[in-house]
Amino acid sequence: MKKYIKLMLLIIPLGGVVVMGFNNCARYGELENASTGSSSLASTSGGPSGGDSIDSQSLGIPFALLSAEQTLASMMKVTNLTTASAATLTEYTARYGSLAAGNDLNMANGPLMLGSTSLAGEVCNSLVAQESAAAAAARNFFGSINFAAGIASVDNASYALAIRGMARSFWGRNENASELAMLTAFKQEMSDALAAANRTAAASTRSLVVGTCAAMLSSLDALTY
Amino acid sequence: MKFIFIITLVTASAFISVHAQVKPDMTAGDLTAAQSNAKKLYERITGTKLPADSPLISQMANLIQQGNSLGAAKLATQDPNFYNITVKLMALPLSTREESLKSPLTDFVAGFIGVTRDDRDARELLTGNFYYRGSGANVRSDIVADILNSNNHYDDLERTRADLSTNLVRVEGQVLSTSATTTVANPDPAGVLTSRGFMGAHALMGTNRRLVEYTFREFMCVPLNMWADTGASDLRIGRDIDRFPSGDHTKFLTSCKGCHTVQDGFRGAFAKWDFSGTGGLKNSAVHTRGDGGGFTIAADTRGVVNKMNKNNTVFPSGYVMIDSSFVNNAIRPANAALFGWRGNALSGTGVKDFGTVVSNSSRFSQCMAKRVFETVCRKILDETKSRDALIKWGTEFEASGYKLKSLFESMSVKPECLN
Ligand code: HEC
Repeated sequence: MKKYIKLMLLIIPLGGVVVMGFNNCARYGELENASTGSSSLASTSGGPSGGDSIDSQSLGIPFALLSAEQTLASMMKVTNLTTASAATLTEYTARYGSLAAGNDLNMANGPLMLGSTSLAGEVCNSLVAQESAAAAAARNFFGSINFAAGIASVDNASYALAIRGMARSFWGRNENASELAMLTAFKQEMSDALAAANRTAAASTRSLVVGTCAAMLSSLDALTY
Repeated sequence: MKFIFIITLVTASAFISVHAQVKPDMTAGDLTAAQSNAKKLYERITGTKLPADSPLISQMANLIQQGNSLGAAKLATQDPNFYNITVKLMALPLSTREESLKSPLTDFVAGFIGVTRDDRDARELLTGNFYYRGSGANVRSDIVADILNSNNHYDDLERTRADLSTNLVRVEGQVLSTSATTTVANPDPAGVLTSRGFMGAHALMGTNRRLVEYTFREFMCVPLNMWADTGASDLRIGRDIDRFPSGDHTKFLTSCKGCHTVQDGFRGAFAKWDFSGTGGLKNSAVHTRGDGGGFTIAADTRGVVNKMNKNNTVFPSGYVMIDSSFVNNAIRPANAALFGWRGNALSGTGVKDFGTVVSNSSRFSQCMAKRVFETVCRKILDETKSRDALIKWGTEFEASGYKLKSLFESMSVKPECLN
């Protein structure tokens, strides 16, 4: 009896190998799994994988994740940038693998969030470069920010205006009170972490704005549609 | 720290031009329901986010409130991202074996974008004699080296992030390369089916069966196991298909035959085509016979490529391919109802005839409607529940003159899409 079972264990997997190996057909086996008739046609957009994975798209969840290309195009669009900088393209190429290969919300994992933040950082660098070069009145987002002074000069009211502009463009809505509180606390932490001399250096304001922009531009509200 | 930042303090040395600027209104409230719907419609059609203060939102919202949702959708399709993102991302997975969104830009994808943009009849995708190419300072564009024998041209368009919505131009007349410097007219042009992209994916190695399988996967929205029919004729099944797999004829009858009758029936259409050597895409009507290397094609004296009749000792009385004729074995009741064949769909010769049979079917139109629905509505169409709707949408698409752009516009405002 024991011997028989041993033999079975050996034969069963071998049987599979023999069948798959000798008919030379890559697709053999697919017919067995299919139900007959045309009424249960599998969806065509999910590729060859089975239909039993949790898929926000098949569940009809009204939000979808931006895939890799959409992420870059969208970031450019909401920041009013028409040409991606060399640094942005380099970052995009480097992060392409971790950005989504589809629109399923389940694809939003750690590497994706990190990749998006890095990409957003480059896009925000371009945005801040463009805006800080213009006169305050001519800026779209950061008219309230004095890029010639340090972070110490950025009071909460002018910081809030910058946040409002980005929220409306990146998220399509005004920021809520808790988001504003979190970002304001971030400004404080960033300022506290700097030596006093650096708080008055212009570079610190630039870092604050780029950092805030990157966080907002890579948050889920900016990455879904 | 509540946020993880990666602050790269790189000095941006970018050249940035300023167009279509949206200045946020810091004092405005959140969008109204109508404005939110307009924004959503725009984002679905362009695949990208739209700032809350874009003037398009109120324009579109007004149109929607006047009962002119289609007019609103038409504003959105004017955005270059409709082509550069939405249409491109719909076409990319149709272009490779992996069916991945992360596939390279190819002539196949460019053709899809071009046909949509130029408002051509979508059946041209499977029957037309044209291709689309671009241009640019850093875009390699030699017809042989960069378009026919490599993907350099399209890789460069991608790398330089060319605006495909304006950059692509239509070229009448497909060509094949016969040497490093010469080209000839394609003797059997059939839209993107005879593109380097599609042929490179499916005519490479194998037995040209994948070309049939994937034409149906991508343009009829049916995997092979869904249209397999064990009751159809096996006269066209090749000699390489074992009729006694593992010594069991029943297995052939209940499994192998199902796929291979319909697939091998159509396969003849591709009898003269191969993808090999430096020359890439080849047709025996214009390429010199040889071992398939360089610019030669490995075909017999009748022009049938060798791989079509390979492994001929497995079942010697199977079908011997002698020309590029094909027969449609997917005509028994279940398949006839599924595909809705029209015109002379029972047989034909070559890829253009094959593409004509496929694209004239009602299923082709339904498949395009299904793909567009899934692309812009961001949800999967349940064919069991929505069968009637799909048939109706297919008919509407045909009535529009098979215009893909109109299909995107009309699908995006269907109640089934919006809710
Ligand atoms: C679900 C559909 C399906 C079934 C069932 C099926 N085949 Fe196939 N077969 C295909 C497809 C599709 C190809 C082309 C694969 C490729 O080129 O990548 C193919 C290719 C082949 C080839 C050619 C392989 C080569 O490249 O030389 C052989 C031989 C073959 N099948 C034999 C069989 C046998 C024998 C069976 C039954 C045991 C069988 N097939 C069942 C779909 C099927």
